[in-house]
Amino acid sequence: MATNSTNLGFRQVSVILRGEPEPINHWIRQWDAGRIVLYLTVIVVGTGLYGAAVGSWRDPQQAVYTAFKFPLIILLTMLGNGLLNGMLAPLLGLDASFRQSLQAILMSFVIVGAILGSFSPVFFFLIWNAPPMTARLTGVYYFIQLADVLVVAFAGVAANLRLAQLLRRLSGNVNVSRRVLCAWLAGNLLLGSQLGWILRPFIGSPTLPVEFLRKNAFDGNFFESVFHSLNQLFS
Amino acid sequence: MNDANPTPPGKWPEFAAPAPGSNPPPPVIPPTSSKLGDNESERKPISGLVEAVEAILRQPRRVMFQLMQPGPGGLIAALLGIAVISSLIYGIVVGTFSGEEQIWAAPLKIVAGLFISALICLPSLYIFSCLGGSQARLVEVFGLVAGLLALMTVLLIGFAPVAWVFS
Repeated sequence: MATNSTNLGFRQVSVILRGEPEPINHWIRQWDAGRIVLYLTVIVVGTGLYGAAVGSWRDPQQAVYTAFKFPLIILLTMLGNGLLNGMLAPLLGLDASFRQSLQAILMSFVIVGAILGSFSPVFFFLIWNAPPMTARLTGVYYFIQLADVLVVAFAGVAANLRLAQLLRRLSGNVNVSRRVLCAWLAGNLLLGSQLGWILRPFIGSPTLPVEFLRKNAFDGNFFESVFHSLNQLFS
Repeated sequence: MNDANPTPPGKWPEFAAPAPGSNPPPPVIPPTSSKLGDNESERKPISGLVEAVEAILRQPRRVMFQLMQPGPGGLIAALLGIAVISSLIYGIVVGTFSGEEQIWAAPLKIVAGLFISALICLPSLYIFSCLGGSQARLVEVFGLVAGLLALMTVLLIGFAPVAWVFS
C-alpha cells in the first residue's frame, strides 16, 4: 500500500516529487518522526551537495563552508517561519494544524533538496570545466552565477507548484490555497533573503579571504542593499 | 467519456457525411497504443548480446517491459556491454583519422565520455521523470539510459564505414 510510509522508505521522495495525492494526503495527516528525519536528510544532503559544488570553484574550504551554509539557511528559514506559517494558515482559511503546515513546507523543501542534489553532479562538472577564479570578474563568473540562480529558481518554482497543488487539495478552495501560499512565500522571502545575506559568501570572491562568516556579516541588510542598487541604477 | 458513441462505427454523422458520388472515406485506423506487455512478443525474456541488439532496434517496447520486470540486471549489463563494444569499435574507426596513439586513445575517450556524461545526468533525469509523474524506479531509468546508449552506439557502428571513408 502506497500510504504505508514505513514500507516505502526512500521511495517516499519520488512520491512527493510526483505529487501523488492519496499517499501525501495521508502522510500530512499523520505525524511520523521517521518520515521527518527522512525529509531533513534529503534537504541537508541535497542542498549540501549542491552548495559544495557551487563553493568548490573558489576553494575546497569554501566548498565545505557552502555545504554547511546552504542547508542551514533552508532549515533556519523553515524553523524561523514555522510558527508564523502555522498561524497564518488557519487565519487565511486553511484548516490545518501547526504540524500539518510544517509538514507541507517540509515536503516542498524536500523537492528543492532532491532537485538541487540531482543537479550537483552537473554543477560540479560545470565548475570542473570552468577556468580558475581570477581577481578580475570575467564572463565565466557571471555565467556560473546565472547558472546557480537558474537552477535554484527552477527548484523553487517546481517545489512551490507542488505545494500549491497540496494546499488546493487540503483547503478544497483555490482562493484559500493562493492566499496561504502567497503569505508563506512572502514570509520565507523576507527571512530567507536576510539569512542568505548574513551567511554569504556562497561562490566567494577571489579578492577576499575564504571565511565562514564575513566580519561585517550583520552590517546592513538584503533589502537595504537592493534599495541602494536600485537608487544607483536610476540616479 | 461515460456516454456511448451515438454514431455506429463505419457510419458518418449527417453533418460530416461525404457528398454523393465523392470518394469513399478513408478506413478508420484503430488506435495502436496499448499497455506494455499486452503483446505476447514483449513478454519474451531477452538473453544475450545479439538478442539485446535486435530487441533495442526492432522492439524497444520489449526492452522497456523487460526492464520493468524483477531482476533486470542481466539485461542492463547486456545493454551496457553493447554500448561499450560498439563505442570501442567506432572509436577505433575515428582514431584511424590521426593514427598513432589515437588508435587506442580515441575509443577509450569515447567510452569514458559517453558513460561519464550518462552518470552525471542520471540523477537529474530520474528527478525530472518523477516531477513529470513517471512511476519508473531508478533502476528502470538507469536501464533506459543503458538502452539509449546501446541504440546510439549501434547506430554509430552503422555510420562507421562512412566515417572511415572520410578519415
